[in-house]
Amino acid sequence: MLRMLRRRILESVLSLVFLLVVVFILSRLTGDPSSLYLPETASDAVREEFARAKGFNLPIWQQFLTYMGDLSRFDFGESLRQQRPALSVVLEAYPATLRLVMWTIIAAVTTGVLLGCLASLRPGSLIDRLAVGLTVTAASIPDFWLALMGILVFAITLGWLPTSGMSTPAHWILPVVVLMLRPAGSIAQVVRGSMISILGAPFIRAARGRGLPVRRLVFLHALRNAAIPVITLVGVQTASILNGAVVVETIFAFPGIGRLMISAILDRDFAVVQAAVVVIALAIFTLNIIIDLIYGWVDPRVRT
Amino acid sequence: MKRASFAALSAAFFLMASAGTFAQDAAITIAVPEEPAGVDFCNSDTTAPSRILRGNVGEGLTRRNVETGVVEPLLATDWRQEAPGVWDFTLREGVTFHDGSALNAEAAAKSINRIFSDKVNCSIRAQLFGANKAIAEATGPQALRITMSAPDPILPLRLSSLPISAPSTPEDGVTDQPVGTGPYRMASWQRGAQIVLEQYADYWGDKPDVAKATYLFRPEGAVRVGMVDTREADVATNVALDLLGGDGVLAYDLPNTIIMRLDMQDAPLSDIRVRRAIGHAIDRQGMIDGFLNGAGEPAAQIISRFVDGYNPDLKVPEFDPALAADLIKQATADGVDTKAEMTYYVLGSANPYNPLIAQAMAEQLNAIGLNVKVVSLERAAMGDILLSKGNNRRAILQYGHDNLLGDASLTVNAIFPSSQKRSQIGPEFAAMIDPAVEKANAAVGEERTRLYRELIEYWTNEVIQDVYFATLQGAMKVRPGISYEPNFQTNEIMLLSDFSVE
Amino acid sequence: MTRILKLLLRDRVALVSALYLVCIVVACGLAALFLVQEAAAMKFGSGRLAPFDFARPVRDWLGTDQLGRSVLYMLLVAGATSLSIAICAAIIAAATGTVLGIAAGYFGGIVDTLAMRLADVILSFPSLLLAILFVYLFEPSATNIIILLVISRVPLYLRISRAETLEISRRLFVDASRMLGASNLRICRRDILPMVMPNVLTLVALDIGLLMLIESALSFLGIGIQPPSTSWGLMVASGRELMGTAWWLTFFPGLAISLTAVASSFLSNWVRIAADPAQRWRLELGQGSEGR
Repeated sequence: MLRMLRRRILESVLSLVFLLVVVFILSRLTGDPSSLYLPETASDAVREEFARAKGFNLPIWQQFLTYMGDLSRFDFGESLRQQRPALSVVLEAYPATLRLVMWTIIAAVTTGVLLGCLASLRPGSLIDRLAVGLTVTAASIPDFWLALMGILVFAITLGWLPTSGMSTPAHWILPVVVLMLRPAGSIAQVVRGSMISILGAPFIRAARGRGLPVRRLVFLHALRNAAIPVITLVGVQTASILNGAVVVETIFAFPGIGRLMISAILDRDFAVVQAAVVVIALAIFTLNIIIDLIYGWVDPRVRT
Repeated sequence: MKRASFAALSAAFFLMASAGTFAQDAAITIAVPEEPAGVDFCNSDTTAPSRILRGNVGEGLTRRNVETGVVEPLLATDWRQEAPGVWDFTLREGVTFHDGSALNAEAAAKSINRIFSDKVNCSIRAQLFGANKAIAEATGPQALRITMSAPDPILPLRLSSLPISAPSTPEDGVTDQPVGTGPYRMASWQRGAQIVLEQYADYWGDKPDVAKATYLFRPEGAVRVGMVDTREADVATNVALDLLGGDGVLAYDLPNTIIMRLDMQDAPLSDIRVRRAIGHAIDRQGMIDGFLNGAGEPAAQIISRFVDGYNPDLKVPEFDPALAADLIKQATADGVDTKAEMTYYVLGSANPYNPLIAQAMAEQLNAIGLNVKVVSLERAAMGDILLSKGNNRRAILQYGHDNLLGDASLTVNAIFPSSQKRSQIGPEFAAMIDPAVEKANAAVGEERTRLYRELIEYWTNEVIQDVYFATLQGAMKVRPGISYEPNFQTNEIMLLSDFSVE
Repeated sequence: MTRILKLLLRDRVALVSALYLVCIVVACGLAALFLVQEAAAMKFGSGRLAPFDFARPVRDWLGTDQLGRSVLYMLLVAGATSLSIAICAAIIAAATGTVLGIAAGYFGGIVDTLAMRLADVILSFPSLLLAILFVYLFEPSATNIIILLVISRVPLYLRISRAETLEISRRLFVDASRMLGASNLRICRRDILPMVMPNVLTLVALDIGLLMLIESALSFLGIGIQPPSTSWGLMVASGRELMGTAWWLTFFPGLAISLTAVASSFLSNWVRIAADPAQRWRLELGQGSEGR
């Protein structure tokens, strides 16, 4: 167990460094952003001064070395736009996204498991077909469109929910529903498939055929077996949820890390972009490691 | 227990209900598109912070009258130019900052000198003063002297854009708790969510109706409008022009001109007939009425009428596609390659109308015999093209030019001289333009205004580096029960004291 | 071919999906050839007309935008862009990823390790954020978007084909081929590839919808297809300011995206069963692809 953990951590660190290098070089290649931060009317002299002060006129490898040196001291540099440490900017935005993703996962797993179980009870029935159709549809609707339509229908036209912001629990309903549909659909499909194959296994059928009241036991047993692929799916879906979060945060005005990254890229705010990439990558790698740990705990075959 | 809490609850309810009936002490919620990057006054030159802070939290020594645009007293009651570049200001008595300290010449001098300090990164410095430097000093308790490094006949106008901050403002960096003299103090800033302003009890001027304002940051335009409809907000700024004519939708002028800048170095744009033809090929009024909901006016020159130096005699080129096509034919006959492909650059994502305008323009230009292709760019790439000479580029660049200062010198000095990065003119024009700009800059009073007007006329009719489309309006939405009179400064300075609530 | 059709007829949902996809591809293809001018034609006077007024000419049946352009025509032309990008990217990603995956699985060694590491990194990071970064650096254009989509999907094909290859290459019939003197290339092509294909084809069918969703998201955020070209995502973005008053500008393109993605999903379910000889009996017995 411990050895696997160490190996995973090492792999993650390597991936992280690789990601960082790529992001750094690519973002510096876009040229210096002084035209974005200085007013139109600024003279050449002012522009050169700005570039010099921020170190943009040094060769890329030199900028990179300076950057790596700073990183080792946890100094991510200063946000060009907000004139304060980039790490603070990113860490302030992080909780909103974390909460959004967490609630989405909870909602998705709950809904997906319920729907999958329901569908698996009578394979091929109307309920089953409906459930499958629903999950496929849910996975196919573009989240930005769903968010806009959701606001139009539920907030503006019907007035049941608030349009945007994140102050009260009611504000979270639309964003979480929009985000969770796709993962819930995938989870439902996996749970259904897994349940059906277990419930249809010969020894189960035989037991039922002999009239044993095994129903509930079987059900729970099947559910526990379905847990493993569901956990895998959650790990895989997290990146996809983060994708959706970017769009949802923009439309619903959640001050999260997705929205921050987009505006930082538009503003050529390098420090923030890199800090955001690091934080997101760290979170994902940590999640993957946690999932591996859960695996080891749930599935005895892995525990070697 | 139960009865006591019930009584408390009903008492609270009663108090809240009665509070709501008074027009004074009202609280309003305003949905704005963008969160300010910072709230220090010295970075309040962009719209996002300016709209919230200027006139509400911070005040300048002067301000511009919203009807005439003329400079009038605010924190300074009187001023006089002692000598070229040396100005004396008399400060108002009895004004206090939000932290209780008094407004005196020492405080004002400190605030102004801070802009020029190396320890604070103040974007307003380059915006207002360019390369010019100012040194402020107190010559008496309420007497302030500002000495400029170069003569500046419009210093009082410039100072209208510079809010004065309290002496307690840190000297070594930007602050996120601005302290000014305005009718409101900044109560809180929840990053990513909102800014709350609350009435300052000891304000020197009239007590406004609105006691508290909450600014919510909502980038989606449709969401902002929806919030007014659902009463989540009382005011929504920057709404789509298509909504004009609807309930509660108000239009306001913008001191922004939409320009098509031409790269004059290469054919066909190097031929003045082609440039003239472009001016005649565009149905400005038709476009404004057609899809901009009539919210704008065709522009005849680079600055809007709210800017000193505006030339009232200049006329918008007639929409005459036949004439334009004819001019093109003449140029073609003389061997100019009018069919060479030109790229029309427009800023893609900022404003939904820009791409529409660009496409309409390209259609009309292609209709008269030119070969134009539209390309959308993002901000940084646009900046690169805007600020470089277009050799071998054959570009037409569509962008909006803001002159928020209110004086032609800002525009003229930024765009006309051949030494400027934006300039596309060759040596023959440079020989005329450069000395004329210097002469206008050095003049004062009536003479100065006249020289700027002449320059603008020459630029518009003879140089034709730019073709002008229109000055558009902006739109905002207020809920029933809120009244507000928009003016040409509304986009940058939205005074809460101008709102009244029923 | 007729066998495929027969299998398709057995599954009504997949049949409808396939028909829909064929129709929309043909319609958009024709529009891209003949309707481009019409779609761009502006009529200033007829701006923001509401849809479903069948008294008006066909062009106005789905409404018009602010410039008076026909939503119907724009929808078809935009669809051509969205679909061609998705289909191109899916096919290229599938081809590249499968080849790489088979190579990695068959030859193993350091090529394998490197490929898997790279695939992991790309797969674990949110593709949209990577996409935003890439597209920003290399200027948004249809070609660059395809490249980006290919890069983000290749790891998946790589993983799948590698896993299959690893399993298959240990089987007896592969050993038999080797003993008969078949070259590596021949083994890969004749023995391994056909076994890998069902999974790959399933994924391709799914990817058409998926890649279209990603491209729409990019265009919606303003960093995908740029005006004056159009795509469904861009249409949604252009209309979003007027959502309250001109709902059809955002509704129809979004509906188009959803329907196409749904169809591609159902079709992919069918492909999963039809392409795998071991599963095909379900269709042949007329149970449809839903039941087990």
